[in-house]
Parts: sequence; structure tokens; C-alpha cells
Amino acid sequence: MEATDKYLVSEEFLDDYHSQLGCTHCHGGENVADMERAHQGLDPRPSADLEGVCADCHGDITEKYEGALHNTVEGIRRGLEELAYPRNYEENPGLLQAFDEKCSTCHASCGECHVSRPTTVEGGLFAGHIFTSEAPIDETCWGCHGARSAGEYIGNVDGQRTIPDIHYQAGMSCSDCHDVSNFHGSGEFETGMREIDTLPNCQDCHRDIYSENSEIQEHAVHDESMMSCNVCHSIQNNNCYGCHVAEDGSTPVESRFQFKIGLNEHQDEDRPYEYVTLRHVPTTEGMLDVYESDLLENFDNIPTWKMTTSHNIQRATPQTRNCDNCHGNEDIFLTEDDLTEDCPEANRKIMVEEVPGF
Amino acid sequence: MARRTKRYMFLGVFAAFLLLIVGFLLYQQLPGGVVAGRESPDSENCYNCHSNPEMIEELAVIPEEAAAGG
Repeated sequence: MEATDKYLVSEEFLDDYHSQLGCTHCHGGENVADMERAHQGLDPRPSADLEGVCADCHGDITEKYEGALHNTVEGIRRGLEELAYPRNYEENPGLLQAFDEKCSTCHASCGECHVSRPTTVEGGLFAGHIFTSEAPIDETCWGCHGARSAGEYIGNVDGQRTIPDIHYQAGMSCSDCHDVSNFHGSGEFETGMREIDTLPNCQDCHRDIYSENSEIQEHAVHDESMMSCNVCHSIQNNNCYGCHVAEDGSTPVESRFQFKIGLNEHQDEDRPYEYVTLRHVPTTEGMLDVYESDLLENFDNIPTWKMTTSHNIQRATPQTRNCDNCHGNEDIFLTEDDLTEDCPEANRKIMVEEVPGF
Repeated sequence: MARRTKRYMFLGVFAAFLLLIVGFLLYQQLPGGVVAGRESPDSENCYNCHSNPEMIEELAVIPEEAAAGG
């Protein structure tokens, strides 16, 4: 990345209220012509401290953000501990070190969405230090979620061109579906995505879509308890088999575009579907061996295929084209053939034993 | 013109010149300045470099930990 892509401040920034605070107000350092002296004591990420400069004016947001998943990455923290059960962070320094070094660095500061790109993609100012209330998907969201949700949404999955989500093609941004609390937090200490009750639902906009009177025959014969919208309206998603843990490359990652339907492991009132689309998560039994061998003791009890609401929705997909493309088609269901020797036994819980016929 | 008047005029001009110098020096010490024609507190030196692509290329020597972040 060119230095100008990272540090160049545009003249338009001077129209932004934040410029009136002065650079040193947020970043420290000194307003002098000597470069080295000017950068002494400089804080390149002033928003990393939630009680710092942002809180002076946006305290209502920073307060809520303390418990937000974007800040705490609590979902990953709990997920990792669940894989390591009965080990825990308190008694296992290796586990804590793995989380601190490989997982907790994913958390986002205010600036990493509203001013600059996330550090995971080398950082840098995305619009000459202009503050944007709506984070640009391709610059910031993509920086962290580019291999999955954001990548599939805009049709650029980690650099590979894919078909963008129909909502993106229609000009919709993340916040057109997601409530701001999905990014900034609800004010509660959030423990995982599934527990957030303000997540969007297709039927928030597409009301009464499942109806016996629907002109679309498929909508008339399938109901919500049967399957999620994604089952028919999403396409192949990116599946990772491994996690980039070791710096020396000894933990390689393979990723594959696949489309798999499986059973809903967590059926509840919000997600009553029996069949859902799946994604393989980047987890292998030995991925943390570089920290401590056999750390993920509970690996066998947690499925590596998870329900996903892929953000690559299309009106027409292979599934919508013909009944035969789903009914009786073993290729798109997670079956015995998909379970490899190194996958956890728990994958059987979501495997489809008998592919639906007619 | 009377000699005394000339002397007062010279002293007046000299005093005004001194005041101008002192005023300018004081202004340099005050927080704030003008950036691209606009008032901007404590920023003119920062901005002069960071708005200049050629200067930015020089800034590339700054350690990574000081790279622009959030």
C-alpha cells in the first residue's frame, strides 16, 4: 500500500467538524515543523481507548460499545473456550495466549470503521481522514469480513470475484438491514451473534412471503418451519478448513466454494427452520498445537459446519430453477459422504440422513 | 519639520515595528493557526505535511506502530 493511501489528509477534512479539534487534540504529538519531534508521543489510534477522545462527544455510543461483539469479540472468546472445554482461560495460559494473539486482535475501534481501514488490512485512511457515519463496506467491513459476509455481499471474496448479493446490486448497504445496535452494541454485554434480538429477518421487508395464496408456488408449498430463505435464495459460499495460526505457515488453510444444506442445530422461535444453509468454520483439531498440544479437547463435540445466513442472496438460484435441483439431490445436502476422518463426530447432528424427496 | 517632531515620528515607527515583531512572535506561541485559509487549532504543521503527497512519501520512514489508525 502506498504511503499516500495511508496517511494523506484531504482538504475536505477541514470541512469536517472533527478537524476543528486539531490533530494534536486526538493524536497527541506536537504541532511543530520538525517531523521527529512532531511524532513523539503520537497516538495513531486514539479511539482505541473507549473512555478517550471519542467519549467526550459520543459517550452514549462508546458506553454501549463496551459490551458490543465488535469490541469484545466475546463470541469468538466463548467459542474457543467451548472447543477447549474442560480447559478454560484462567487455568490454561496457552489457551489465553492463543486467544490474545490470534483472536482478540480482531476487535475494531471506532476509527477502524469510521476513519480508517482495519489494521488487519494494513490500516490507512480510507477517505483522507474524513469521518463517515456509515462505514464503507468495501473498505472497512470487508477488511475483517471479506472472506465471508462482506466479501460475498459485494462479490469480492478475499480477492475472488463472485456474484454480489441482490440487495447490494440494488444499492443497499449493511445498515439498510442491520440496526445500528448490531454494530455499536445494545448496551448489554453481548455473548454471541445468535443472542442478539435485533438481527434482521428477511420478513422484516418481505412480509407474508410464506403464504398458501402466494403466486409463487414454492412459497405456497414451503413454510418457515421447513427451511430458511437462504436454502432457496443463496448460492455457494466460502468455506474454510483451517485457520492461519502459525506464522511459519505450518497451519495452512484451504478454502472451498460450496453450497450445503443441513439440519438446524439451534431451532428456536426466531429460527424455526428445519433445514438451513451451512458454512464450514475455520477450525481444525490441531490448529492451536503451536501453543499447546491437544488444546481443543472438546473438538469432537462441536460441529464444524454451522448454520449461516450467507450474504449472497439471489432471486434466481439453481435451487429455484427446478424442484429436482433440491429434492433428491444429495450433492447440496450435508451427508455422510461429506464427513471426513478428521472432522468432529458432532457434524453428524446436522447431517441430513435422508435427502428430501417429493 | 521640527527636529523634535522628526524624532517622535522615528520613535513611533520604530515602536510600531517592534510591536509587529513582538506580536508576530507571540502569535507563533499561541495555539492555533491557519490551514488552507481556515482556522485550525494546533494543526498547521501536521496538516502542511499530511496534505502534501510528496511529504507523505517521506513520512513512510515512520515506524509502523505510528501508522495512521483509528
